[in-house]
Amino acid sequence: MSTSKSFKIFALEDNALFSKMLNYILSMDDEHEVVMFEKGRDLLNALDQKPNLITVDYSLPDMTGEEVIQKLSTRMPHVPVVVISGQTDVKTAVKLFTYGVYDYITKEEDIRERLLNAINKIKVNQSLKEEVEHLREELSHKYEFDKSIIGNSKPMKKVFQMLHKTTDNAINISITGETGTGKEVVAKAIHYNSNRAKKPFVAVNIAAIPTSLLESELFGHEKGAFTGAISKRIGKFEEANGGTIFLDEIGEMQMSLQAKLLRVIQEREVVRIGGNQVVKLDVRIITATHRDLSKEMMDNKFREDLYYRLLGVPIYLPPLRERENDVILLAKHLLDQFIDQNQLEKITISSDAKQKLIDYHYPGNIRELKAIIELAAVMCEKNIILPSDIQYSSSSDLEAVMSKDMTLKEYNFEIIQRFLKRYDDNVAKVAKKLDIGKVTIYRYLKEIEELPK
Amino acid sequence: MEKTRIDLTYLETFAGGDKNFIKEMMERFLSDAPIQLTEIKQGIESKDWKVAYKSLHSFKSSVNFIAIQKIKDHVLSMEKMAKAEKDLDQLPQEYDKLENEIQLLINELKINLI
Repeated sequence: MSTSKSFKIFALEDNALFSKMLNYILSMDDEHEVVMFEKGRDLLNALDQKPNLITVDYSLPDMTGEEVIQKLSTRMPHVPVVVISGQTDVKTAVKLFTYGVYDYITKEEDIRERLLNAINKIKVNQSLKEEVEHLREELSHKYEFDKSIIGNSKPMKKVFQMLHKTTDNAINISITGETGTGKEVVAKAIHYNSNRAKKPFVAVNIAAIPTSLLESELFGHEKGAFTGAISKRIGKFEEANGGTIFLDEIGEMQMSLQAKLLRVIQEREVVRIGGNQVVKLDVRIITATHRDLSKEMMDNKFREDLYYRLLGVPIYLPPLRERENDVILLAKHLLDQFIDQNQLEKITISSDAKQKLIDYHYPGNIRELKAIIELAAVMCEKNIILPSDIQYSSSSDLEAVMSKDMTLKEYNFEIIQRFLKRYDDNVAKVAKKLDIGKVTIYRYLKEIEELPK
Repeated sequence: MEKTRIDLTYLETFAGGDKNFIKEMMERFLSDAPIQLTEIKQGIESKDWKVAYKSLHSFKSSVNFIAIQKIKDHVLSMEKMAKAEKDLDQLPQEYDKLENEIQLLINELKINLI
């Protein structure tokens, strides 16, 4: 059976006998390709062969082990180094660990076991790293703009234009849009299309975390910082270092925490609660909210300085009802996704069903469309979705209005009232949406007021 | 009967019972030890304590595989003297003793290898 030498080890050892022994131990695994070096300089000159692991004897003829390790830490910081030394010197060991040395093994009787253990651990770590790399690579393909964000309506073309401007820089981004418009998908797509794609993407839903825990969640804490802090924990900002943090529902953040967030953004550093070590940060911040933050700012519910810090590139995600025929594109995409995930046979959507999908106004946006399509895929017979398979949630606006027996005038009242609610009593906007005059709306409002309670 | 100067415990721990490998290591010691001793001697005679220290340090790794604790300790104490450049006047005598011990060890190994 042929075996491939997939793990290259460089071993630096000047003692011929020990070198022979080391070679013997390291070559016991068929996966290992072992290259022995007697001099530090020779090893440093061969680094272009890209070893997976380097073992270094601390005492060498041409230079000290420390010099070699120092050079390795700058030239190949990701390659693990194991020091094998004839001396048990704690000070030296501690010093070497500051250069990022993986392990320090003395030339004692248990060296074989210790060395093989260290190599096994290094291999596990490397395979985990490779797996993470692979998954990140997969994610970056999954989140290519064209694949992850579906739509070619006018409002979405504007969104795409903005998105392409976000990839080569680290400017903050603020995403607004109704609930269910896909704010997190867009945030992920921005991250995985940016030059930070290989670093972490960390999402935090501010509204989902109790206020009392949020500070520690974001900035981390030291052991014993407060009751219940039984161990040290790094915060989401530190977790996202080098990458992107997505702060969803930022509008829900309390004023006191807003001040702390502002400080972290301004100083580009964080100090864990109860600690004093300063951790430098390089994190891109993407925020999202369904609220109108500028209005929140006017109402003194959101700090003005923080608002402008976070604003960066503002991206507005239009509601589905404003996205023309995107509904059908999305419906097909969501259906294909559902078929893939559940390994179903191909399902199509009939023309009448498509029309029914277009006629609806989706208060829950894409999230609602997804639920509708998945239910239809399950309900349909003969792999064709018919209008009868499409069921809108009873809590949806239109269904609720249409289910009542009312006069045409009462329907008009109901529709205007719902639109006013949806657009924050903005009469001009409602008039435009319903294609009626503002005067008509005022007249209806007056009539509603005059109705007997 | 004179006590043996060979202790293969360390080597056997490494080799895990691979007798051929143990034999190879012993042969390697036989060919390397005289060269290493010469290096040590030259360092001491030329009073180049850095060379003396380095060659003693390297020789320490070799004797660790083959020799009894008394010899290992002897090399270690000489290494310390050279490193600290202390009691240097004793180093030539200590070397003579070491050379003698290693010669006896080599003879014993040769018999074992027959």
